[in-house]
Amino acid sequence: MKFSLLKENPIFVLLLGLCPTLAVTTSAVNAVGMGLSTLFVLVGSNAIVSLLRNSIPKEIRIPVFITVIAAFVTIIQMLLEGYAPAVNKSLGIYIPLIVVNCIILGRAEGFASKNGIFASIIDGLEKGFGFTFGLLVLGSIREILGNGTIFNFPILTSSYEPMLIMILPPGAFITLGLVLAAINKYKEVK
Amino acid sequence: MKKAILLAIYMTVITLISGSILFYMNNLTLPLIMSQSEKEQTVALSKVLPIAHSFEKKDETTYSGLTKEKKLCGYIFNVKPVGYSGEINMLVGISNGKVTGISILAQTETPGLGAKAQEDSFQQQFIAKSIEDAFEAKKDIRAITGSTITTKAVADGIKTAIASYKKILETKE
Repeated sequence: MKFSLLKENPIFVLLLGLCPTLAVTTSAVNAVGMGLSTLFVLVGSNAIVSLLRNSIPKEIRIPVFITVIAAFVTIIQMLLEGYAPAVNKSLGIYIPLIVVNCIILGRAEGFASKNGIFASIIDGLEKGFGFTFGLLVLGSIREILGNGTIFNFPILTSSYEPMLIMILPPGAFITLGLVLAAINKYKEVK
Repeated sequence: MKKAILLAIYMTVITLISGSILFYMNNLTLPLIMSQSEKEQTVALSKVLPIAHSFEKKDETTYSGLTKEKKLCGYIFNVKPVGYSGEINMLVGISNGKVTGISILAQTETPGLGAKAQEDSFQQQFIAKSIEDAFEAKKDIRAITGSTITTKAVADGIKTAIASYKKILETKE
């Protein structure tokens, strides 16, 4: 099994989970917080679904998946609230909304319910890190152009006037569009 | 029929297990979460009324600041003026007829514009202003560039706090 962040990248190739992608990539810190939270939920739900895969009746598999996913999301939210309240505050509603992130349900249904636990955990890590990587790329571009900082460190000189639009909602669409265009162009050339 | 019962039992077991795990996790993290939000609150309260040593909740929106000798030294008001894109939840400290500081607890203003109201460089201008001042943007208050509405909302919040402060003084006399 090959581990690749780009080949089936949830954001850049599968175009899944775009709602949190567009909403939380206003800064690199937010992007990493969201990415790692999703990674945790994805690995956990993949592992449990894989363990239960032979016992889940197929008629109620979706509610079972959602229950497992929701439990992991609630756990990560309680942990964030207790240990990283600042991250929890800036991600806000998008943490509970991980429950309905289609990557997670998609991997539970499409992969973990058909494969062993080890392969499912690897798959969760691959898609989770792929998602984090995608968010980080968008978050970094938007934070540098829109605020002149990266991970809150100023990197552009004070003579640079930040392009505010980049950290506002339209900036998310513009950045994602340009990055997707660049990736497709690169694939075409190859 | 038998199948339906089996499905219901399976679902019940799954939700029971998830529920118990969450119950356990909640017990584990709840004290931590409580102490975090308490700490956050004390930090915010002492920022707006630095001379106070401890705080006492007077009613839903008012705190009294006490000195080390438990003497009343000022009030803190929790006000929620409406800004450009929603409520601005803020604290205003007043002592001896002067504003001692403001702090924004939660806001939904535009990042890069109205959200700059959270920065110290904006908030510091209110410190030591008299409660008889006008609190008008662009006159005695330096507005945030491109965010007059947010600036006005913050000023309105302070004015509301001042009105409550005056009321408390009146009832005392």
